[in-house]
Amino acid sequence: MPTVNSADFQIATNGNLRRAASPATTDIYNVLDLHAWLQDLADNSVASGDDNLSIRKRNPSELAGKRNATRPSALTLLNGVNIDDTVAQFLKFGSVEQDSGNVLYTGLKSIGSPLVAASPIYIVQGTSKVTRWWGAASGHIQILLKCKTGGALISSGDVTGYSRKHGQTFAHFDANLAAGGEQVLALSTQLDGAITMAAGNFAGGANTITLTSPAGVVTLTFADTTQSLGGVSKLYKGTISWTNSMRLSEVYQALQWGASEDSTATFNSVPGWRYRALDQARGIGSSYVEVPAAPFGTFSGGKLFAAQGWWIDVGSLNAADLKAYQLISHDGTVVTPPSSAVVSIGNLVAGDRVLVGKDDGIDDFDKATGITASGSAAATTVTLSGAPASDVPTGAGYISINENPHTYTGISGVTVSGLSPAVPGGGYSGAAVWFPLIDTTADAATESSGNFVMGSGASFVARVRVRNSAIPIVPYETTFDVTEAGGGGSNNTIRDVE
Amino acid sequence: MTLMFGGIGAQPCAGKPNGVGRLPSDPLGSFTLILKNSVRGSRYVIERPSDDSLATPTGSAEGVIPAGAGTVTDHAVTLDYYAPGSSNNNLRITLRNASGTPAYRSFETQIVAQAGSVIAYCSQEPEE
Repeated sequence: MPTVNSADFQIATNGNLRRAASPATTDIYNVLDLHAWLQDLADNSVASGDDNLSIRKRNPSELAGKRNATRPSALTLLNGVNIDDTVAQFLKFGSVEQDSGNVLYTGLKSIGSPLVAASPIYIVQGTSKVTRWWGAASGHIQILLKCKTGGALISSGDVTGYSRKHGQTFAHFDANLAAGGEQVLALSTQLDGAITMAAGNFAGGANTITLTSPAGVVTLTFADTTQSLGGVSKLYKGTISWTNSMRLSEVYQALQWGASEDSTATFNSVPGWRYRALDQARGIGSSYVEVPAAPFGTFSGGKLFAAQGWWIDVGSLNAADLKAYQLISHDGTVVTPPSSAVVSIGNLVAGDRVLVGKDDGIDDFDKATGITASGSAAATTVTLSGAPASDVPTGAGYISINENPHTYTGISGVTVSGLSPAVPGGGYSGAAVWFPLIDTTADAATESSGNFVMGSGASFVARVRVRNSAIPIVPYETTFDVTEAGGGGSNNTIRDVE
Repeated sequence: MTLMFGGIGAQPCAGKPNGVGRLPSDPLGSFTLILKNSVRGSRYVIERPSDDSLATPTGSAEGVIPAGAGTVTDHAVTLDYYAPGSSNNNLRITLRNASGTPAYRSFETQIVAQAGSVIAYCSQEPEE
């Protein structure tokens, strides 16, 4: 016997089956229940109330196959009987076809375990989010969704179900509704222990995510870049960079928020809540392997496993994260960073003149780079005659040109930028260049080099020289080993007063 | 219109006594429609597909197959038939039994009324 409450719906003489003006319940009915109710009404000798069906009217519905409450029902509404989108919201477990097949509502059911309780699920049809009527904390859903109207499939019948709540791992699944019946979305979520910041800590923009605490901005650049890492030169299709030397654990949280349901960020004009992979965002159709749980890459054991195609800007890395990531290049090659190091000299006082560089083996600094620099007077950019060695910092660092000490903010290829002080009067033309690790007047107790890349298994001997004419100390000079182990070496000045 | 013939030896008119004339739209007589193999408890209606009106006499054109022994039975309905060619002889039979257990799919068939009896074999398919 049908279980539909007759007070929930009404059927006009023209066949319009709609929600009653004052429905008795908000129950969700199986499609089979609707059919049984319609057939029961059609058995009546005359129509009654607001349900204008009887044996005198044509058959209102037809079921594909037998009545079987254990499987989804494919129902066809006949002879002008039709439902609207509102009625469809109160149906599940099957499909409803009407208007001679020109309109189709197909069942959609999500399954999957584990699923964090009350995980919100949203559906994207085409490029738009379906206005949710099943509740934001629904957990798994079982609904009817229109997939055909006016005889044409909506978005070819394709839909994608997402669950992306900040603080949980994400999930998404594609389904096609064209066949009717009930189609399945496989979705599974878990609590993400790597998410410690609240969603309110983030704000989205066009290709940016701004953090309040720590203060910083993560920027995504959608452009090709060929980069070398650990001696492996590969093409990448986008770059992730950020400010304030944030930790990768913080960057990961920002990226996850950026792809969450509530994100206000866009990535190459793709709303973050439906961002899936870099190749799709750029429309290059390279069939990148998606990472549903974390579209920009997962974070585990203190390490970021970036999704395919993304380059991590080495200059943005915090010194503690120099090896804490793994990339996948455009062609699918897994690339891991080589050992990186930072050299630090401690026990300094303000005014100490500190110089650290590779040792030449004969009690002096190794200045024989074979590289020269050219640049106009007052310029803050110089051009090198050749690319520096791979263990020269490409972010901020020190450069000596004609024995003039300078700092720089970046090296790209043969271009050194952000030179300070600027090129002196007369300019540089073929001036000899070498790259100290540290070449500065200390203003703190510790001075550090920029991040530089160590080749695997590589090491070198560094020389440090500390002098201070204002507070006379015996010039401190020694050598030490810099290896790939532990991310670099450090050295404390021994201060013997003269 | 009634034609009255006075006098002795009035002749019957079109089979009607006392000179009562039959209109072209009047039935010629009655026939028996047998709903063979109809499921007991099914509601039936017999209509004219030309305008969805009930067959005549209307009181006989709808009803319920009576209960009794067995699931199916041959149920007889007495209806009017008309002059050959009349659209009133084209009848649509609908049987429905979707409220009980088991439920049956709606069954429709059509017959042409004629003198004597007409058998409509009813094949009501269970829907469960």
